[in-house]
Amino acid sequence: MTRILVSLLVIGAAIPHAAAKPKASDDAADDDSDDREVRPTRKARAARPDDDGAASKATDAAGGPALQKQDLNGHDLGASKQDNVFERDRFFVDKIDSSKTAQGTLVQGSITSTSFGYHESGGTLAAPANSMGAVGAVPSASGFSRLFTDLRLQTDFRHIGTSRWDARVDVRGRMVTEPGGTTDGFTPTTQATSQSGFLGKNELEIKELWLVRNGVRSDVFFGRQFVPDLGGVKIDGLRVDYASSAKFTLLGFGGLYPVRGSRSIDTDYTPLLSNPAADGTRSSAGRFTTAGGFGAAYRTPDAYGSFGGVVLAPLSSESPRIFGTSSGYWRYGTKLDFYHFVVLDVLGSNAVNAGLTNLSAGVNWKPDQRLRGTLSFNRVDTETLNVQAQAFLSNPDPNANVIQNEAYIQRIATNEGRGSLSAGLGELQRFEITAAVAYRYRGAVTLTAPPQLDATGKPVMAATFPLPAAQSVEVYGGITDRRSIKDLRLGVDGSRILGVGSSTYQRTSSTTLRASAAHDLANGRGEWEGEVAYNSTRDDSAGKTCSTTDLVSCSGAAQSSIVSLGGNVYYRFTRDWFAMGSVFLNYTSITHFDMMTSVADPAVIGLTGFLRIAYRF
Amino acid sequence: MTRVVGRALALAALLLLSLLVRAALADQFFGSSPGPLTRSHATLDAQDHCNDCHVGDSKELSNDKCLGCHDHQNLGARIAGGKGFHASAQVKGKKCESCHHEHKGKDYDPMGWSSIKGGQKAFDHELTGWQLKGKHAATDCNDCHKAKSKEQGLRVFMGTDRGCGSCHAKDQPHKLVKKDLLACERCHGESVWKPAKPAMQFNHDDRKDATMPLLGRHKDVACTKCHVKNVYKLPFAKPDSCGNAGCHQSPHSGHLFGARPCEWCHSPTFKDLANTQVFDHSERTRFDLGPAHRKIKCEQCHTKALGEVKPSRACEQCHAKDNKHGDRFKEFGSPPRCETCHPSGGPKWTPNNFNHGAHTKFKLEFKHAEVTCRACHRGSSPSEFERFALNPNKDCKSCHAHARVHADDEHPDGKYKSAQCLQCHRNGGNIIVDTKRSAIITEVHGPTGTFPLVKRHKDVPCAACHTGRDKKGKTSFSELKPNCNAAGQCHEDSLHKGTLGDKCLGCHSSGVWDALKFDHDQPFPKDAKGQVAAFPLKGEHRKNKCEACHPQRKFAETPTTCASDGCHKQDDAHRGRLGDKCEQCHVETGDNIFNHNTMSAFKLDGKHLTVRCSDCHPSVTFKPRPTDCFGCHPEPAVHKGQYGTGCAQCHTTRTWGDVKPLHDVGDFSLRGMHDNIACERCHRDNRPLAGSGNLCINCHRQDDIHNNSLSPRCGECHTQWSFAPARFDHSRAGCNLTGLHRTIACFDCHKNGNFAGASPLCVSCHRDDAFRQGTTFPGVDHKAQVACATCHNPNSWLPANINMTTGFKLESVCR
Repeated sequence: MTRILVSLLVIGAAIPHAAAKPKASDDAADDDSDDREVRPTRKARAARPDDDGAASKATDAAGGPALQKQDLNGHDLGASKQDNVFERDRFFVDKIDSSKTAQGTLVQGSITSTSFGYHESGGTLAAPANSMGAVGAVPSASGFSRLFTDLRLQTDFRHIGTSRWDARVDVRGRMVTEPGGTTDGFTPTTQATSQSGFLGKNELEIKELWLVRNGVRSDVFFGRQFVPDLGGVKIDGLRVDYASSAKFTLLGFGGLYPVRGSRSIDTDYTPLLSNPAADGTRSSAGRFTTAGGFGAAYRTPDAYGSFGGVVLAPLSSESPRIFGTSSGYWRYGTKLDFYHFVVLDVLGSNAVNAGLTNLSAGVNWKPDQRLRGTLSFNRVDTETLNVQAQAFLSNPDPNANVIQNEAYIQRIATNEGRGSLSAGLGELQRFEITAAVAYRYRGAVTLTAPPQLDATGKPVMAATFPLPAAQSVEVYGGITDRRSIKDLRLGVDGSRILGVGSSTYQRTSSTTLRASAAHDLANGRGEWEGEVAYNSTRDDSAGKTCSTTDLVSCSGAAQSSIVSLGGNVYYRFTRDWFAMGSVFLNYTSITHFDMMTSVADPAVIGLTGFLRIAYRF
Repeated sequence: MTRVVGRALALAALLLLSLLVRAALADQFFGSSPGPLTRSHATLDAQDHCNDCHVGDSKELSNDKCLGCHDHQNLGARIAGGKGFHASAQVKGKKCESCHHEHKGKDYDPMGWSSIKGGQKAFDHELTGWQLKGKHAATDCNDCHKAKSKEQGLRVFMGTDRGCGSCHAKDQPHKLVKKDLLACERCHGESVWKPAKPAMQFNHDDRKDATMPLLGRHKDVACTKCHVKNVYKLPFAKPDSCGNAGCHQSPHSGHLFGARPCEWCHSPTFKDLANTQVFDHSERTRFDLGPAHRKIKCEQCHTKALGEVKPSRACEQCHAKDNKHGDRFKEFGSPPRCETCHPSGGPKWTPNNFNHGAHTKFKLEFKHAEVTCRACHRGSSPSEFERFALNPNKDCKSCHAHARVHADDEHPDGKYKSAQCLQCHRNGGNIIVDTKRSAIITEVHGPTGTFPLVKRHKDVPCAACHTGRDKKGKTSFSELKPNCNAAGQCHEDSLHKGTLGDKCLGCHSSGVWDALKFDHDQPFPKDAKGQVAAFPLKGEHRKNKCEACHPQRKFAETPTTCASDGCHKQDDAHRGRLGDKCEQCHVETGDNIFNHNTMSAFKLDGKHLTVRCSDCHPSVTFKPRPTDCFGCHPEPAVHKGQYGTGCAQCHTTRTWGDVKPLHDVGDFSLRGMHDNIACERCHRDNRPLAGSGNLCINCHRQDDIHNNSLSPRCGECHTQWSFAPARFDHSRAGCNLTGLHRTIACFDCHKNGNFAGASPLCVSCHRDDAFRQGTTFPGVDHKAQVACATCHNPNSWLPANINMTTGFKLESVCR
């Protein structure tokens, strides 16, 4: 009894002492619970790697060095960064906290206005050979001009109210001329749109709109965002990063997957459609596709990268697409860099024709400052989900035995191997010589006509059109004088694409020559660049007779040459304003073959104008 | 008595009762108090002191009351003035008790550290207005905040002097004491103490920073030469004084020189202290040294025995012991004044200054003026200088030299009397007879003779050269060789001592001693090629006196190398580290022709061309410096320790900020808008700035509207100024578009998102147009039509040529 009483007394005495003097570990566990806490600022809390000196200063609750998380969101959110000479003259750089913003929210961003116009003129095409009767005048140039103007706002909010929260907004609106399909007395189903953006229509795009809470180890993102470390997937959802160590961060995400390539909120979640059934009919696939993924990012002093798996799951009509992805960079010594990016489809519609959807792998060789060599291999393939692609296709014609692009999805992978060598010559590498060779290959493809029925409603055998494998070799060479007469930067380069085998890659051989000159304006506040270029092409089918049953013979039978002249001017009026403009004049002449006869079309003269004004705040 | 005892007991009972009541009240107070106050507030830990802190017997506390006591160092005024930690945004306006808790025991922390997560170590020092960086960030608080309050013994954090010297006054080996000089950041960084910043932020020539401006050679002296062990506070009362009050210990203490400023003789622009050419004795002292005095060392006259007393200008004061004349010349003073005969500062003691005409009755002319005194005044020593009793102007033969002149057997005392001498000789002392009357003299010494007498030879007495005597003792004119220096001839080679041979005429002309014919630029002698190599004199060498290089007149043996054993051995500031071929860098004009790019392993270009030598080489010994950048350029803080020593991987010497060449090579030349974005945009997470894969798509994956079906090299079509306008022309894709198709949206044809291939047939895109058109257009059932080009053109549906069968042909959108 006495022992129990003494024990109770000891415990009773210890309780107020413990309450009055909390342990350090209690502080760590009770992160934000103490209202009376004097916050040791975000640096001591989050100890981001971009906090200068944080490595030696920031400590965790136990007194050890604080964890330095990886910054995987693609934006430098370091609020304590310092000015440095490399960014002094740059426009799109992160602000530095002032004594005022350090006690509130650091807001930075830019507003960019961009306008573009293109107009061309030409003559009247000659009447086709053996034509009968009167042939209406057909102009060689487009009947309408391209014109758009857009406004983009990018804003970052950092340590909002000195909290752990950051946010980013990146939105853009575009107005574009839409020529429509007006033709005298006839309104076609296919409305013509201007060559602009995704669909050539007005756009209101939310590129990014997210909030992030920066924890000691975990970052949680909400909203529209890209996941650069897992295939660059765009989602509207939630992402969580957890840094298990300074070198390894787990990351996962989930949410909705907007239409790939969509650049406007009215097409982000457009009604989706299934692949055509045997009778050509398509069913609704809802509006939404979900996405989720899990992976990890790693970094060491010589390497960094990420890997993981992603699931894109339409809610109906198409099985989920599952792919693994990996990207990484490895510096092997001071002279060799290796890098890769892989998207490997393992399940879903993409895995049918292209298991290896995307591969970029290469090595950069840098024996010294004056010599660079690169070797790379790239394989690209379409990553579109069927239900999202079908959303923009017209219904197939069940009665026509033709290949109909608007109703048809064919994944065609292309491969490229490339090697280049660049050498800097002269004092301070005044001259540079670059030579490169690339080999491109597209495998043989058989196009199959969409589903079709006969008059009785029964499926008929599909028509197929084989396209042979196509290959080409490109030889490129260029020389640059960075500090020529009057400190001009002069450059001349040229390339020649030659077909290999019976079919040339993209069915065209071409030669391109370009000469450019550039110079700073007003001690680096601006720059102008002038360019003159010449390009000539010759299609594989030039001089051949077209057969409607042979796509290869019928698709393009011309040779053309283009001479362009123009330039860019960039000028920064103040630290926070710049303007940039360009004007180019193109002269395009086309010679096509009509019934084995060479016919020169009237030249097309195009004028391109571009103007961008930006303000940062 | 009983009453007194009773009253006493009652009083005691009252006293006891009052004590009990007071104790009871005290128990009541401690029972209601939330807990004991900290030891610092112990004096307030009583019931009657509650309102010293609390307001109106309530639990509420007042900041004003806190500050009323704690207004040490004017804390209240500082808060009001927005100064210090308590005025920071995170603290100002808060209640004191929100951090400084009380009633938690005597030993509880009154400073409020427990209110900060992580305690004292996690305190954000930036709130005080001073962000701790580098090693400061890891330093224990108590190492800087050492002061404690006298009353409480608590550590005082406020008011700590921010000057480096407040903490590091004893750490610095420099022994600097002035507060404004103890700004360590001028030379050191907070992260890395050593190496110091390559460009120290102080100006030795500024009196604010240093007492003594650096002049001349001082600019090239390593700092540690004067500031041994980095002690910048020199232990001299006047560190800008050169001598014993400064760096250079003066050897002249007790001398006259010791009492004079060093710069009278020494100049900081001279090569060494031994060079005292700056001192002009005639200007400073009005005592012209003359050639002889100029050669002797200063201390030979200014002896230690004289101390700071100036020596007398009278020769005999110094040269009294040199008087060898006894009292022979007592007529000229006692002691006799040396200047009477010997020229002051003359090259020798030769008495060529005696004015025979002024001091005696016999003016010396002609030959008399040229002969040595001893030729007439015989005697074995200067004190036995012979006197002549007769008047030598009237009695030539009174002189022993002429006593028996022209004597022969018949005239043993001479053929002529004294009175006859001048009948033949023109003047006294002029032994020359009228040569015009002597044909043989003209034949030999005439203008066309074998030895024309020109210049100084013209006035030389015959016997001076014709020293031979016949049997009669007369001058013999035979067997005289024309060689100047032949054995027994006229001119003894006392200067060259035979080192230059016997062909005097190679340099000298007859009758002229000056070596006018000598050419330093030619080998010597000219007809003996290579015996002494030519040494052309240039620049400063031309201004030198011969003696500067040939001090012993050893002309042939003078070395021609500069430093190893030559004239400039003592001038080698490089201490032999750079070899002995001075001429590779230095030329006679004083210019330095050293070329770093051709004469060293480290090539200079860009900004390196404009820096001073001493910026990289702290000492003129030019001890080789590290050739990697890190040797002079420690990694700056902006790199955050990521990139190590390979500066050249990114930077060039053009400008430090010019990292463009890194991104201006080959495939990945970053230009246009890329020059306007921060590096972190691509190299996020502070990743190595060495590679993001060189592929545009690696950064622009989210910008790709082509569904990843085109090349990852966006630059094949787009420029770096913007995505639009693009360089892409559809003709390069095997399809020349015309008309409307040149400007419509790409997606109108490539709707499936695949840009690598699309059927070019018109119907491939427009089949639905035909199908849905049905028969609405008169005469044509479009449902059955798949060859659009039969009627339509690629620019617009109309005009259509429905009356022909071949139409526009080429069933393709591609031209």
